[in-house]
Amino acid sequence: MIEAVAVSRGGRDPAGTSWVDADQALTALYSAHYRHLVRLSTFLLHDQAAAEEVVQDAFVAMHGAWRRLRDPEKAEAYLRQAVVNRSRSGLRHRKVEAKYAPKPAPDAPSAEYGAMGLLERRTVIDALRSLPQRQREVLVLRYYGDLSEAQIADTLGISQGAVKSHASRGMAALRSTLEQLS
Amino acid sequence: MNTPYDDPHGELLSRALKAEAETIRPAGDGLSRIRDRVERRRGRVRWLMPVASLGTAAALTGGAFGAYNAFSGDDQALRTGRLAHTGPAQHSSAAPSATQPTTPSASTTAPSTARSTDPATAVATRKGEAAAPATPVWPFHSAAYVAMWQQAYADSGSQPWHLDAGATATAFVDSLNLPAQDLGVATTTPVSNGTVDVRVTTASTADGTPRVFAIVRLTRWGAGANAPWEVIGVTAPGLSIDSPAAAAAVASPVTVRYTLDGGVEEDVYTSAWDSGGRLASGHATVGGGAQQATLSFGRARAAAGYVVVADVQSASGTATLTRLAVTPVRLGTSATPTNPQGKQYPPYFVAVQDQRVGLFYSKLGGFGRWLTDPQPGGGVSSPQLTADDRWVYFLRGGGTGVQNLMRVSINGGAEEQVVTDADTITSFAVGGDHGQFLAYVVTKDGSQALVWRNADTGQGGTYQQHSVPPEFGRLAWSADGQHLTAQVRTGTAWELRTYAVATMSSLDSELTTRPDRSAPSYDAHGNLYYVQAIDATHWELLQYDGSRERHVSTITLPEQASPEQAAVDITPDAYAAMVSTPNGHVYRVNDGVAHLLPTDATEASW
Repeated sequence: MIEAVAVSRGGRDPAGTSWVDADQALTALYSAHYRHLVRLSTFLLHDQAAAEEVVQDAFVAMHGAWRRLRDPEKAEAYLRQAVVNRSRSGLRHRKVEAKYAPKPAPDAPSAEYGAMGLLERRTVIDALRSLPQRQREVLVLRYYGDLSEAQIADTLGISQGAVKSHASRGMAALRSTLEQLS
Repeated sequence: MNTPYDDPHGELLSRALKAEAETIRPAGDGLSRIRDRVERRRGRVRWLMPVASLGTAAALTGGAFGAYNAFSGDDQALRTGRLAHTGPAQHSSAAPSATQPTTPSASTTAPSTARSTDPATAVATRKGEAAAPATPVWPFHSAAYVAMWQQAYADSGSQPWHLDAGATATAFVDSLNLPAQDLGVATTTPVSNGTVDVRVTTASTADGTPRVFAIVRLTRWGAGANAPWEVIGVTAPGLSIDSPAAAAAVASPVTVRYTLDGGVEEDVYTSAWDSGGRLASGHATVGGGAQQATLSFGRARAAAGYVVVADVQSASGTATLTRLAVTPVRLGTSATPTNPQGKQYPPYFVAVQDQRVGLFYSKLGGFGRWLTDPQPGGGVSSPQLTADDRWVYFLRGGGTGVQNLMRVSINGGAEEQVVTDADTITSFAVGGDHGQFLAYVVTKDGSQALVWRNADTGQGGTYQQHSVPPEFGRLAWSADGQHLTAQVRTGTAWELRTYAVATMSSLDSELTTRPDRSAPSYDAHGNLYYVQAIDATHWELLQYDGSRERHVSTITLPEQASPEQAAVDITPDAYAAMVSTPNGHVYRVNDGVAHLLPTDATEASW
């Protein structure tokens, strides 16, 4: 679908202007969302290097679509959609060789989120991996991304009813794992 | 933005994800890589744009932008996710399937409810309107649940997928946590009035085409347009469960015998489930032919259960479910409980704090979330969870002397008044595997009466002793609903009296000759637990098995308290107890140790 883009607002709009806007938007959005999106994609892909590429793809595309987005909130939703769509296994293809290895952080449990040890976290992450793709997406968007049902529905392009049902089935499947932790 | 977690485990999942997220640190060169690629694209566009069109709006729209889109084919695909075909049809969760029979099931008639023997009592009775399927497997296991969903659906359209046989079938397979991706439905075939067979597919790893791996049989539970679908069994060509037979009564350890046709190296997963979840699981790599597996489990929370046999094949490192069979069974609860996985207590308890009912974590007493809203002038007390963890019943004070029996779903929402014709309820107990037994104390004609009811059968009664009217304190149901033990006071001392519910006569027991016992609670085997003060700062937790009293544990209190208003809640397998003192201390007692939980909550129960 190609949207009509109103470039002119009653005056000349030199080719350069929109690119500058897009550049500024890119920098601002990168600072605000890049890390979070890499984490989101890593939960879906289980491969941090691939996740970084996916998110970089999304930012590049967002930059290109800035003319019709023109709004930080729309851009954020666009980025999230692009990242989630691109994070389905089998869809990604390496365009750029990874020249770096992401360094894992030291293994101290985060004090802010309670003393949940590494082993317990791993159990949850592994259980999440075994879920069907949709359920995993809904649970990660809800419980990591703190998104509302409406936002999740919009990101995934499904109905809110479907979001509820994926969430409840996913949690039912994870229940025995989570019960052992508390 | 923060979303209220409507699943008690949601917070745990969130904590795990957020803690894990902190260990994911992106490399620092993301922005420069993005900029590099943007510049390269920009270069292409500029190269394409004729110099003469620079500055012309129309040309920019059709030219530069159009050209840009041609190069960024990924853009649209990224947004719509349509880089690859979507595979088999996803199960719908919306409108009822067109293949559902429209005539009400012939097997469901609505037996009229046996009204209470006490016409003054108008407890919201769950009507036995739907003749239950003989072998319910999933998701409902009693008419009470069907009615609860139907009410929620009528009120707010909640979970409409229950009206779609295909969606219910795939959701059931999802719930088994097996390696089955991209579940779909091949066909839905009516079998008889109100029963259908749904052929469920999963994407084969080899070529991505959907393959049927099971035939899920469902039947409608209830009459009318919003009677939900219930799975009653699953079969698969080439895999049969030879024993246990459908609806057979089994007890742990269960030997599951099954036959696989063909197959060289099959990964077979067997498991036993009840309505509370998986009880036990096993795995073996087998060839074709007759096989068996043994499953051992501890407490079963409900009589209705099912056994699952799943045949999984691995191709190029990915596991795919190829055959699935499920047989309903009746689980015995009379066996001595063993818990081979290691003894456990329930992960959370309900309790009162700040005049509200809250959910707390059993391990450390940490706060989970609120279940009721604050209401001015009305405090809450005595929260009790039903054994299936679906409802919390509690008392809410309203004004002078007013106290109503209420309940709220574990998922939150509006409180419902359970007893509508009495405003002076001073104590109550809810029991049975899904809260079907209810007993409460009302004041009638100046003295107290004990009212009880079985919501499933509609039977009930009232016990009132006019000659020397006793005062009733805490109540406790035995697991089978046959006995009710009440804390009773006729003089100055509280004592425990056990009533046989069928006759509402009190049992002669040694217990009544021993005063100063309070806070009764039953385990799954008819043993009664309660506390007695040793001195002002020491209580003893005791057990009575019908003939003998035994010491269980000593609880040392940080300050003086009397056990008359204490509450004790024992787990069905008697592994652990939750003890609450009237001055706000909560103890989790297990392995002979009373752990004082650092919480401000009171009146804790599991």
